[in-house]
Amino acid sequence: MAALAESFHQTHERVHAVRDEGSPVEFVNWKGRISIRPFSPPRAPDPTSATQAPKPDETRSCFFGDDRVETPVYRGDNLTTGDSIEGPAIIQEATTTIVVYPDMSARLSAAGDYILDCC
Amino acid sequence: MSEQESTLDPVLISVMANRLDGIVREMTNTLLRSARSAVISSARDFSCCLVTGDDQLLAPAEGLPVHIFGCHIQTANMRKYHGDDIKKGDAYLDNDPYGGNTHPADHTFMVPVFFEGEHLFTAVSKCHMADIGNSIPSSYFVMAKDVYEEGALVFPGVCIQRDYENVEDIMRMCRARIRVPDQWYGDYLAGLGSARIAERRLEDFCEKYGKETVKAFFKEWFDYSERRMVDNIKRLPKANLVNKGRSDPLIGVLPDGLELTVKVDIDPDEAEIHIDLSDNPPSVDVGLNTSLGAATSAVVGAVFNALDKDLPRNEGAFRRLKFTYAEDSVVAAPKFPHSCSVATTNVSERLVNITQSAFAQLGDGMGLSEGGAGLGAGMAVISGNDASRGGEPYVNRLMLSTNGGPASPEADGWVNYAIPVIAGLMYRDSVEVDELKHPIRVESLGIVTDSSGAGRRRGAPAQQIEYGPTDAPMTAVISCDGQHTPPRGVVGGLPGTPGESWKIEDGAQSERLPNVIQLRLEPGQRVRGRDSAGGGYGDPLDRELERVTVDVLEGWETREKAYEVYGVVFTGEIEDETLEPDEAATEARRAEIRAARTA
Repeated sequence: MAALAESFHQTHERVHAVRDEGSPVEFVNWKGRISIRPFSPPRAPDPTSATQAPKPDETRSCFFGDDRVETPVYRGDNLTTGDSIEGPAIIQEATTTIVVYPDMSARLSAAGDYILDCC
Repeated sequence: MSEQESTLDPVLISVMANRLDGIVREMTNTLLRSARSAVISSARDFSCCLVTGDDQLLAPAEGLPVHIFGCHIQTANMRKYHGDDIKKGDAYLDNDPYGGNTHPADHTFMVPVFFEGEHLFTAVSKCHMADIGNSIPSSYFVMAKDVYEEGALVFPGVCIQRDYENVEDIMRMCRARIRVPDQWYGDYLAGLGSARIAERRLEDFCEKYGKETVKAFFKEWFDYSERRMVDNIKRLPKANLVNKGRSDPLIGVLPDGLELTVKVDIDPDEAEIHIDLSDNPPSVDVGLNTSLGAATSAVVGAVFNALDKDLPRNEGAFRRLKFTYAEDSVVAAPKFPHSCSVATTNVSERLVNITQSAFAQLGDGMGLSEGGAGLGAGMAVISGNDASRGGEPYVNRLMLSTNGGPASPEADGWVNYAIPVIAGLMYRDSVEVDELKHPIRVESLGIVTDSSGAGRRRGAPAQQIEYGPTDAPMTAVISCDGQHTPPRGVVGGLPGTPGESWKIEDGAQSERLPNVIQLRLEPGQRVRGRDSAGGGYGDPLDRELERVTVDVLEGWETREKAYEVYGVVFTGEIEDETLEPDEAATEARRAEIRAARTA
């Protein structure tokens, strides 16, 4: 701790030309620098792989334009690679909600991306 | 002035001049980053500059206009008092208003900078301290009968460091008398550090260019600055301008305020401007007396406002300004022991206004209107005990609301102008930071519609603030000079509205307060302060329709004022976005107003 406080005083003296050893030193922000091994790269999407239609977790009544449609809702956690979903549908992820409009489809790629296509 | 050939490359001169400005900015950064009181670290009530070893002002960069002139007198006094005893590693403190300083609240830290054994520069940091040990908890004391009642500790060029170590006697003196001494000590370190940073950089500067080049630069730079000033003054008309103004009354002391006079004699033949400040009342038995440094700075700043915007402000340019002072006067010639406690504001603010608006007598296109003046409630010095910090005392000068700036021939007034002597260079406090630092709550802060002085270019509007203590009584010292004589317009422009302060109880205005007051507020009570607005420039009937339309749409002025004062008639409504100026009706309305004026 003494070395840490001393290095604060030294930096203060370098930047501002004075030191005040009588006052407590408070660290408001810490900045860190870390080095890590990169993750292994994600698998490339395989356009030839088979697709399958998953089961919706629930359905909900939603408006698309003026039409009220009973819409399937999928939880992202329950989807697997190759799942293909025809719109209208809703995919709920932990941090976002994806609306698959009528005349669109969504497919979960091997890399974990949702690929949305217009039919 | 030297007419001989330059010995230095003009590009090198420019590089060196800018390097020095860069050093002053680094000094400024040090103070902003490391000072402890909000008045310095948030509001930027300080200035840094470099003076040559032989006491010529060299580089003020963006110092406050009222702080600039006089630093060279302070460094000269330092040399007069200490002579050959001045050494590398020394630092000096000066706040003597009778020795070149502005007012006692401005603690000026001076570090002599040596190179190869020669005193080549003095680095100067001038900081408005939150407290200076006055008899009341405010660094501004308007009613102080004399320096004894004011009670400031005064340090005439006192040595505060030797061999880079504090002179502990002086530290103990300050700690024994200044309120919240740790806050003062932090601000002292920041001011000293700022000058020490300059010392390091100037040593590098001398190392890089060599002593002879640095000395040649001083001469060349001052001569160049003087030539620029000569050129500028030669382009002005020959004129003898006399302008008067009046400060606010002080209850029981100065029932009519003070009539102030500035005479500006422009002599293009000799390329000189002569400023005569001698026709002013003698020293008064209150803290309003202006020091030589403050009053001269105020007037010099206003003269520069009327000249080219990029003139170097230094000793070379100052050679073309001549001054006449009285022997005993509230303006620039206080007689001991009269107090100069508020030398940098009240009377000095009026001097700026009187001088810059005097230039408008030269005709449309010259000079400025008067700017909003007065340290209103939003700029009060507050103090008390902070219950949330175990009853710890606090004292600080607020900088939360500001007066509206003056209009120029080309531009509307600057909203965050503050007061004429600092002309927008200070920063506003953050409401949230002030509320964190002190037990206060700001209820509201806003711009006052319709307050601007109307004109072809309008003054900036007034601002209004309401605040009070949260959980323990608070003292607010308000030293306002802008509530009775409002800022005037020029060349047909109208005056801005004056300021007001009110005590608020149970959410309602209970009492209009005098402009100068030491106010005690209990929790639940608040003060409401309205600042003054800048005067207008030129006839409001000449203001372009587009500008008046924007004023009304954005809420600077109401539709009613647009009709009554600017003569602009609108069709449609703001609410449904159909508001449009009616050109024909406006022309008729403006003709009607013009006809009524001559009737």
